[in-house]
Amino acid sequence: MPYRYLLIIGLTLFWLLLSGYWTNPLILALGAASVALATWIAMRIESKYAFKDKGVSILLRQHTFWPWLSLEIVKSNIAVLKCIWMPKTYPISPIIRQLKMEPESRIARTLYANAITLTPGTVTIEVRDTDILIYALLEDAMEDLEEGEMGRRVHKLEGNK
Amino acid sequence: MFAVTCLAILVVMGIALARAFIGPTVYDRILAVNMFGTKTVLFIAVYGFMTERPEFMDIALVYALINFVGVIAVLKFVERFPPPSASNDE
Amino acid sequence: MTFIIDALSWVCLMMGCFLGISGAVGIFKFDEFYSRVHAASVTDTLCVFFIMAGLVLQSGFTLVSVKLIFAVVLLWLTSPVASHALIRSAYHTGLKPKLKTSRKESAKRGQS
Repeated sequence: MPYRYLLIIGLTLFWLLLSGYWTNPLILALGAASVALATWIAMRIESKYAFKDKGVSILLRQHTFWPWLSLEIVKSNIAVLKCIWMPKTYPISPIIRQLKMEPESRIARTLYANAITLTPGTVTIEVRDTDILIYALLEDAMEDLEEGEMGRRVHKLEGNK
Repeated sequence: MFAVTCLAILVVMGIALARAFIGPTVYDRILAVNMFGTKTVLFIAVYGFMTERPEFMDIALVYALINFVGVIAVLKFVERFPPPSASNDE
Repeated sequence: MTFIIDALSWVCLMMGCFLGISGAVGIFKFDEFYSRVHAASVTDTLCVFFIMAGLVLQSGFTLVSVKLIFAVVLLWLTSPVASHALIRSAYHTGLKPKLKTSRKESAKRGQS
């Protein structure tokens, strides 16, 4: 199962980078014990909510998604900043709407909802199957989401063209 | 320059605390406390650089995780036992 | 060279301070809980990024900057989860948002 090995490699790297002691045997042994414990706990979750193989392939395709998302974050930050400092010229128009989303697998839906919440100006209130309830501070932000650029990009991460 | 940054973060923390005190609903308070926690992480990091002890970053990392777990725990509690004033005053 | 790096990190830190203060002003100024979440999310994303970027420029290529990057990643992963949980439990306990309905939107709502 690739997920288990990925988790072990990631946790080991995390421990080594955080501790900085790469020669002390006691600390390395403690690190190995911690990694084993964390992996065992994650595997207990895994037996109930399996992290499918699709998830691993999603992790490999992140490199085009993050630069684009950072650009979106900068843009929406500027939009919200305008609303904070100049409320007269840029009035807020709060709006709640339910949208359909394209991504199907659970990890892609989680990624999509988190990306929506991470960009200022839009917050996911609830995710139910393929429906997603979104609260937006500005109507423009909501229209951008309805247009579906982000959904398409996350959908592409799943491996569909 | 770290001193200026520290001062600015302290101002932000003060405003967040004020919102936590006056915030009309319980969710406003939790939001303000969450923001206060994020700013504490930044403050610890900048303060560590100001006193030239960058080991403070470990504490900042741990604080970020504890802040997250704490907010989720409080939210779970509030969701299960909603305070009487949570829904009707705005 | 060090002068350029110092100047860059100074700019990054000041940008971070400005974003943090505007987030705090927003959290104070907006008159409703649901709008305040957005003001807080401004400080949670770019403010954190800019301040940490300024510190990374100062510390250079060491383990400390790895830890700084870890802190940014952790905050960017946990803050949307926290704000989603917050707004979801607020919505479920019946805190009603104040919505400004445009004409298009109210026509849509008439149908549903």
